[in-house]
Parts: sequence; structure tokens; C-alpha cells
Amino acid sequence: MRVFVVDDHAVVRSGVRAELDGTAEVVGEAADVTGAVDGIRRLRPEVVLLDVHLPGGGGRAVLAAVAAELPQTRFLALSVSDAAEDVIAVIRGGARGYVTKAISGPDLCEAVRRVHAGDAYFSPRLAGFVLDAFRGAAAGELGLDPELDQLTRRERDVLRLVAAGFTYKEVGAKLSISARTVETHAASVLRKLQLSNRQELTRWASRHWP
Amino acid sequence: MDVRMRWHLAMAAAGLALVGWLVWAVGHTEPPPWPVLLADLIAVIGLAIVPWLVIVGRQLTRVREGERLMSRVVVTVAIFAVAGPVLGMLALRMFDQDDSTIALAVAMMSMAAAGIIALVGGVLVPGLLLLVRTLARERSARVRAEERAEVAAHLHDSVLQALTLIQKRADDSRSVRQLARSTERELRVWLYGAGPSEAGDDLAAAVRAVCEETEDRFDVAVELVAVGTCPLDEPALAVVGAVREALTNAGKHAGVRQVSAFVEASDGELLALVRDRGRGFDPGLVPADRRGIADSIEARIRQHGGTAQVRSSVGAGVEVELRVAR
Repeated sequence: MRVFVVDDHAVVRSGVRAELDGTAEVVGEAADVTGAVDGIRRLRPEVVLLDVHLPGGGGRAVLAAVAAELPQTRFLALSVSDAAEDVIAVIRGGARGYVTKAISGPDLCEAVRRVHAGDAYFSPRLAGFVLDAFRGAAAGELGLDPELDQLTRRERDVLRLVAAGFTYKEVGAKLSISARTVETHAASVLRKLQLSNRQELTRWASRHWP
Repeated sequence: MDVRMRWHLAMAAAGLALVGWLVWAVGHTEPPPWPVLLADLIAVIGLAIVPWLVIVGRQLTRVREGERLMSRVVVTVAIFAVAGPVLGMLALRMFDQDDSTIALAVAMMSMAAAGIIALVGGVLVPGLLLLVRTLARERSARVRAEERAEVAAHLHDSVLQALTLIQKRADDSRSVRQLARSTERELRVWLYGAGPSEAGDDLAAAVRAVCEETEDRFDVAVELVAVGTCPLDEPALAVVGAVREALTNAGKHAGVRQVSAFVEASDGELLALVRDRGRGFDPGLVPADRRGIADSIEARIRQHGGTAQVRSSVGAGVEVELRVAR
């Protein structure tokens, strides 16, 4: 796996490099939006670890610049940020997952593998944000179609267990479904999130997380 | 003030002087033939207004909406300035070769209108716009400075102090971890707010407090995800109490540094999940006198019509699931 790391802190970049050692090859690094866009265009990595907060416009700006032209490249958001607005924005910009920088080495490797395979990776925190976004009362504000865009009961169960810290495999075992089916549910939640009305969602997020 | 600006100002002053002369001339001399009068009018009004337009316009081009306003004003003024004389001449040709007063009146009115539009739309309004923007910019600069001072004060009180303490106690890894955690918590709340439940006396806030307490008491990190919240009524208090007990058990017995907690308040139900990947235990072998799980978790939840499940086996961690209907 060829991975590109975008973070404005050298400490974080070298930490990630060390943690991915053996799982993936870090082919390049960047500390800001311009460097990231150039590097990603030049090196065409398979996975980009993308900091949400970056000088020059944030992870969102990187996604806006390169996500459409490089459909083979997958993005995994990596941040200390707790602000739902920022996290939801990079997911909707095309990132296939979000992990906090407190994530353990093995979990990070797992997340990179998953995103590389084209799947979605929900960290507990992201699962919580998404559950909140699709809650009954919020769904109306979001401009979600109550029939089409609601989470199914199964998707909700999956997200709850992910939010409680279970791995996809454990979630599958607890719900008596295969890990692959858990994947399918996660992917469909990601799709619903990316398709719903952008402005409504941003407005909702900024109201709930000042 | 550069040289060009000075030239513009000199021209504007000359224009104003000429306006005075024109007013005097209209009152005190015989009117010249109309083409001469028209040419005079164009020259005087142009000289009196165009330099101002240029002065304001040069500053305005830095502002996007200003540029648009300016080009509109210029077009409107040009239309009035050209249309009036043209209409006047047409009228002259078509109707009466001898009497030029009506044509002259139309041309002059149109010219005067052009001058007024240029003055109001090109000089006064943009001038006000610039003034307002400058004031707003000054105000926001002041606000930014105040914010920066506040940030600096806060970082000094929390982060800098913690870093100093961490350097001093570098050998005591437990207290270093604790300091780092509590500082991170504080900074997070300060940066992003406490989340949807800032009021502080609801379920999410109470659970957050319990998690922080556990982190400080047992040197574990509690990863809490809270979805929704509700007032702290009896069932909610029972859930908070049971979660505290579950976290305490994990902190005391699990032997790991990481515990996960999930709390959701939906319309019909309160759901809490607490799990660790620690030692675990065999539920069949818990001595009857150890009442923690039975009293503090199961009985408490059952009292409010809920269900509490504690699942564990040796080496597989502990998983506590609480559900109470609302």
C-alpha cells in the first residue's frame, strides 16, 4: 500500500510513519494544502491520511482539489478535532473514514487497510457524530428524506456498537451477521451521509457544536 | 498623497471654481449660442465631478462590490450625458429650426441629472461605503486582538502550566498521563464547547463528569461517545450511577488503560454500553458477598424497569449493557 501523510506537525507525521511501518509504505508527506495537492498529484498514492486542520484551507481544500480527479486514491481523515462540523465536512468531501490521533497503531493500520479496500471506516467518535446527525429530530432539520435517508434499524445497531468501541468483527459476532455485512452497512451509511443536503447538514452541525 | 492624487484634487478645485463662474455667468451675461453653452456645461460639470470619481474609484477597485457599483454609475452617467444632447438635437431637427429653448432645456436637464447621479452614485455612496468598511475593519482588528489576548491567557493558565509540571514530574508516568488527560479535556471544552449539552445538568454532561472522575481516579482513558441527551430524571440518574459503577470496576480490575463508553438518549429508551478489553472474569465464580454488580448495576436499573446485562469471560474483557425505557 502506498500511503501519503498530510499533517502540519512533523511529530505526528513521523509517528504515523512509525506506526504504519510494516503495513504500508509512506511514499510522501506534506504539511500544508499546496504541498499536499502537489504531492498527491505527482505520487498518486493509494491512501491519503489527511489532517482535518491544515494551513491553507484544511483537509476539505485538499479533497476539493484532488478527490474528483483521482478516483483511485482513498482518503482517511485524521485529527484531534472534536468539532462535528469539521469532521462531517471532510466525510462529505469524500473521505471514507475518520480517526482521532489518539488511535492505537494496530487500529490505524486496520483503518488504512479498510479504506484502501474501498470500505468505510467509522471510529467510535465518527459513529457518534453520525448517529446524532440522523436522529429523529435532527433528520428533519437536515433536509433528509424521512423515507429514504433514515438509517435502517440494522445500520443504527451497527453504529451504536462501533460507537461503544467494538471492532467490525466483534459487531458482526454480536449481531450474528458476517463482518462483510457490517461493511455493507457502514458503506451505505457513508453514502447516505454524502448524498444528503450539504448546506442543511453544515448548518445543523454548526448549531449543535458551537 | 501621491502626485496623481494631487493633480486630481487640483483639477477638482478648478472644476468647482468653474461651477461658481458658470452660475455667475448665467445670471450676469447674455446666454451664448446653445452649442457653446452645452460645451461649457459639459466641460464644467465634467471637471467638477470626474476627478472626484477617479479618486474614489481608485480606492474602490480594491473592493469587489465597489467595482460593480462604479461601473454601473459610469454607464448610467454616460447614458444620461449622451442621450440628453442627442435628444435635444433630434428635437431641433424635427420640429422647429428656430426655437432652440426646449431642446436646450432637455439637454441641460439630462446633463444635470448625469452630474447628480455621478456625484451621488460615484462619490457620496462609495465614499460612505469605504468609510463604513474601514470602521468595520478597525473594529474587527480590535476584537481579534482581544481574542488573541484571551487565548494567550488561557494557554498560559492551562497548557503552559501543565507542560511545566510534566517536565518536573517526567519520572512519574502516572501523574504525567493524568495531567496530559485533564489538560486535554479542559482545552477541548474550551475550544469546541462541551458539545450539545453545555448546560451541564443533563444526562450527557453527568456521564461525561463520571468518565472524567474515573480517568482521574484510576489512570485509564475513557473514550466516551454520547448521542443525544435528556434531563436528569430518576431513570437517567440510575443509568449514570450504573455507568459509574461499571467504569469503576473496569478501572479497578480490568488492568488496561482504555475503556469505552457509549450513552444514547433516544425518544423511547436510554442505552448505555461500557466495555473494556481487560482481564475479564467468570460471572459464575463471583462470591456472593461481592455486591457491586448485583446492587449498583443490576438492581439499580431493574428498579426503573430496565435491563442490565454484564457479559464477561476470563481474558475477554467486560461488557455492560444497560437499557431503560423512558
